[in-house]
Amino acid sequence: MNIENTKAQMRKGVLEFCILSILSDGEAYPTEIIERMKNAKLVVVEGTLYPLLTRLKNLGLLSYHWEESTSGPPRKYYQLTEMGTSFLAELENTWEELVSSVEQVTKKDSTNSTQTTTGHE
Amino acid sequence: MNKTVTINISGIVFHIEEDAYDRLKFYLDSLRRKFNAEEGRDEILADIESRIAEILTGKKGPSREVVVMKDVEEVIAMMGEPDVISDETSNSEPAGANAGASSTAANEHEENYQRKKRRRLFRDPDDRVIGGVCSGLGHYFDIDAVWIRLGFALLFFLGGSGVLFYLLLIIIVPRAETTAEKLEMRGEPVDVNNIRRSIKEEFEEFGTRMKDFGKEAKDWGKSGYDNNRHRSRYHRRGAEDLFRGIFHVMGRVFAFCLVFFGIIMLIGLLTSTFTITDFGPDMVTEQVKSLFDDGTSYGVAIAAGLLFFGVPVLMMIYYGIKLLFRIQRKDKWVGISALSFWILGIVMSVFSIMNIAAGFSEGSDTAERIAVINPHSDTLSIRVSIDKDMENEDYHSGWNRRYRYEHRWKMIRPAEYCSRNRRQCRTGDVQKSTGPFETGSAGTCAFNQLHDCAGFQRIYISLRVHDWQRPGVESTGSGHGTAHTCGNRDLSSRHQSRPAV
Repeated sequence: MNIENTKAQMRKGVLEFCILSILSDGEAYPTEIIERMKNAKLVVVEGTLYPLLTRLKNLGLLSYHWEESTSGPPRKYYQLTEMGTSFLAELENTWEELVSSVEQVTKKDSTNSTQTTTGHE
Repeated sequence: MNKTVTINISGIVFHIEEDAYDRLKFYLDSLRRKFNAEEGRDEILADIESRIAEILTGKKGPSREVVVMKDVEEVIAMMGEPDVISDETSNSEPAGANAGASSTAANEHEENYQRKKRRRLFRDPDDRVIGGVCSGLGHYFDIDAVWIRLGFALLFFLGGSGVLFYLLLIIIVPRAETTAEKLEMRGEPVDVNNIRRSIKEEFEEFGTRMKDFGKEAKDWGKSGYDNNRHRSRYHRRGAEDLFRGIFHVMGRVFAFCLVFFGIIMLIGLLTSTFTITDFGPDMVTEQVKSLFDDGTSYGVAIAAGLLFFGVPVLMMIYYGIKLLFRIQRKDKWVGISALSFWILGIVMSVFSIMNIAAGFSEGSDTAERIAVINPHSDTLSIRVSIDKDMENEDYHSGWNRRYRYEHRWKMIRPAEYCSRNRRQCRTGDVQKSTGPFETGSAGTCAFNQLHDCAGFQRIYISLRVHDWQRPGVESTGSGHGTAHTCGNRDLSSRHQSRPAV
């Protein structure tokens, strides 16, 4: 497993969390979500987002409705369901725990972090 | 100037250049394979397509209506190549990171396979001696083009069939014009592995469809709608797929047989043609030529034979190659011209056959020789009579039939006979008399031209039967000739006329 792959694996876990957080500010259509994630350098290519959205929707965390667009085909506007909101809250807790525990482990020697993660994977 | 195609992405119409279309289609197909295992595959793809439509609409302006390769490349860069996407997503269900990783690896592996398109046969314009056929075949079979060229050179010596075969390939095999075609030319080799894979893919697709059908049927059932029609449609599609698969394999085998036997027949035809023309041994050529009155009808007959047998053989190879390499092209004109050449061949053959038949029925040469040894006189009289049974059978049977006897003679001086070889002597000494004479039921002919026959040792007289019978009716009669020499000698012979064709 190469480094790029490891990085992708790490990023992958938080993508869903990020999508849910973005949507917690209000409904959005994929392009908007992508814009925000691209700005945060979380996503490199747009194609990544669509399978995730579909998966989250199928899990019942998201719902969507169609809206006509002036420039192109109709857009899918996604929003959080109740289940999505509670799931997000849960994820936020987990995330904070994770950040603190990871920090605790890596604070001593930050150059060793990649190796640690690789070993974990 | 470039050709464009019109496509519909998410309900929006785009004009797109052909190569850009190929690229986009290839991209979407590989995405489809990428998300094959995903549950909402069709939905994901619909979303992606919709986004692509949005991006492309943004690029379109009043002065720019056509989507070009650059646009597609940009779109793909934005959306990401399938393997990049797979790195970032893959199944994130809590099935364990290891499973996720291995599925990613498997996907990548699959992806590398799929990157290359199924190989197709093209002529390579960049590496050509005449038409790029050999290098194209080389790419297809992964062999150095030199060997194929060598093969064609060998075929050239087998009656020049290599030339015909090469011309045929130039006509059938398209030249690789676009970059996409050049890529396909060197694409994924066609071997057992990827045939198996494509069949596997088809079955998987079939499986998903059946699953979808199950779901759909349940839904329909819930809503109380009659779903029989749908079910039968799905079943039929499945059966069709299976039959198409079997048909496909059988078609390939059949196509190979067509080409293989076609080439063998072509070689056979051409070598045999060369044997009976001036390139072949004298003996055979003379024999064949003797069937015809002159060079023209001989040439016509050769051409007729070549067309009559050659055109079907060439067509066999032609359609075999088309089937074998799955070349699709509009070739109505090939069929039409082949058919007209073949009909021309038939007409010429009929003409030649009638010619030969006429030759047979006109001059059924018996080559019957009557030797007159040491004639005493200078006058020879010949009495020719129609054979008794022939008279009964044919002469009055209503066939418009007449017999004519023509006499030829040769005189052989003793000295010449000994000194010359037979062939020269025979041909040199044959003379024709002043004209043929006819017989009815019987006739006598004394010819006085032989006044200096005294002193010759032998006189051969050959009687030639002319049969004015219609072609196609077998001649069974025989003639009976009697030669008298100077009144003191009776020589008789029977001769059977050769059956007319």
